[in-house]
Amino acid sequence: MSSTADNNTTRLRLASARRKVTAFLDQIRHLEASDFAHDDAREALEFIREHFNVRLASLTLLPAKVQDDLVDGVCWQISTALSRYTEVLGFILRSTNVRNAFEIHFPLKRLVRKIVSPDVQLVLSSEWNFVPFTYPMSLDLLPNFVLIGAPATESGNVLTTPLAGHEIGHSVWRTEAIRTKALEAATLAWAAVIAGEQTRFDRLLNDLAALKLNAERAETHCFSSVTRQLEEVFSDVLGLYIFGASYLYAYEYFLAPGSTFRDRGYPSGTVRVAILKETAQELGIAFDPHLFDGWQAPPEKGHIEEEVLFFADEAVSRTVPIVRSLAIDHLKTCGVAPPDSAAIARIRANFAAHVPDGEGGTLPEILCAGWEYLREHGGLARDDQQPEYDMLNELMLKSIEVSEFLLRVKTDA
Amino acid sequence: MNAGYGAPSVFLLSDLAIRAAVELERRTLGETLDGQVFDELAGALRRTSQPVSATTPFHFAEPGYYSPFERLFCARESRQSGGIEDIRAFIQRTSDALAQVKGSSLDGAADLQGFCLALHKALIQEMAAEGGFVVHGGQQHDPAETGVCAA
Repeated sequence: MSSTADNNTTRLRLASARRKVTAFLDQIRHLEASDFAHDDAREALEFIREHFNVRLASLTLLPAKVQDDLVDGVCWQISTALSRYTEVLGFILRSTNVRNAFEIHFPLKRLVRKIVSPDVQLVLSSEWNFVPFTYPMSLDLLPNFVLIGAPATESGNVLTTPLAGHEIGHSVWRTEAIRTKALEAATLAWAAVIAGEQTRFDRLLNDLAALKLNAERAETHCFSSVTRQLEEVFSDVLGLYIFGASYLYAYEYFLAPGSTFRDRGYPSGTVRVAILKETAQELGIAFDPHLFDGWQAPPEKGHIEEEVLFFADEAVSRTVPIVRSLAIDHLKTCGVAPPDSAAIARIRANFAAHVPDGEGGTLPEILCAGWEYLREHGGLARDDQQPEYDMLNELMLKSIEVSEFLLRVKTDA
Repeated sequence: MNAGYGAPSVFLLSDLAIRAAVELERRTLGETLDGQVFDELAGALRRTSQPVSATTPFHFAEPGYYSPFERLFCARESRQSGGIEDIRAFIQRTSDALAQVKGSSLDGAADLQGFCLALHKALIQEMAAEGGFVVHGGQQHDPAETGVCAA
């Protein structure tokens, strides 16, 4: 073991760690003075603050003579924690920005509580990165929080809300029973694919061995692509069931005309769209049949990567029906109904008359109607159409507010 | 990787490892210690080294654990490489030792402290390699975060 921390360098290093944690806590106090539209973000800050208070106390209580190795470890841990949660503080700060559509918080939170857990909390925010994303109850300090972020430029665009359905799907996927069933099916499919292509798989293992991956590690490496892809499929199906055609339109808005890059954790763009179309057909969701015309497949990768993807994709393909059923059955069990076409038509007619829906349409129904209006008016992207586009956004937001009001009046009655 | 998966996150495990190392230092120095962290670390290690399901036709490690556990196994057991079952058995043995550390000799505690520090370092390296510091790295995948598309 190394020497003890009885020298100036180590003492100063520990002092730096204390100062960094103190600065972090000061920042939290500053953020707590912000104007929060919803309490969830403030409560998230409290949890983080409490944790870092404990961390600061434990730094102060370190034995006077401690090994250098231990000091190094403590400093690494502090840096890692600060790094992870500084980003979360930024996320929470941006949740207070008035560009966010605060109106969608309550209906989304109700949805999350219905399909994830009744005590879950939700923070909606934005990120300076053009990717909708989530921390699906995966932050150790915030295990009961679902954090969903939209790109900053889109955070006021209600029409992209259906993509939150996908992000919520990642939290549902963490339900033990669902994930275990999906993984059992995936491993069976994986074993069947390998058995059918044993020689080809052995060649791949040989190629991976040259990269210093032993057989088991290589197989784990390949299989991780299957599990991650299935999580994405599950989240897509969940988003589609909840938000109906509006999910497809928001998806197309954001990702058209397909990806130029294939991440091993996602199905190929064309396969993903095919799964969406097939699922929409199975659920009886009507949408523009030309929506995904000309969808581009990502370029091929190197030989080894393509071989890994071949086996992973085959296993995914065989498991998709089970994963789809898991998502749909879960939603049905939780009492989630797909958008009602009659309600969508009513809301759509109201929008045509430039009035918000006054009969309590659900969030997905309002979004479906909004997308129909937008698409029927050619996308509303011309300069002279900007007022109409803004009006549509406001009609949707107002409809959501009215719906929330009616729900609360009904609940309190 | 996440709490909901049954296994703790890599970050949480690293936190438990360094806290256990600090408590073992207190023990060596004859100071009052908080023994609860040993049980927490032992339990967390057991959960990370159990199969996701007993009915799966092959066993695999959760993403994020295989590399650090293998490095740790090779370093501590002086082996070139390790299979999943060997690594699992090693983690289980150490987990059992941790659960009993409160009543063990000081020599045993020193060995466990070495394990905790090595485990902590391996996990920190893994988080850095996974892009734990740069979560929007496109090809890199931070298991804590995920999105509708690959950036």
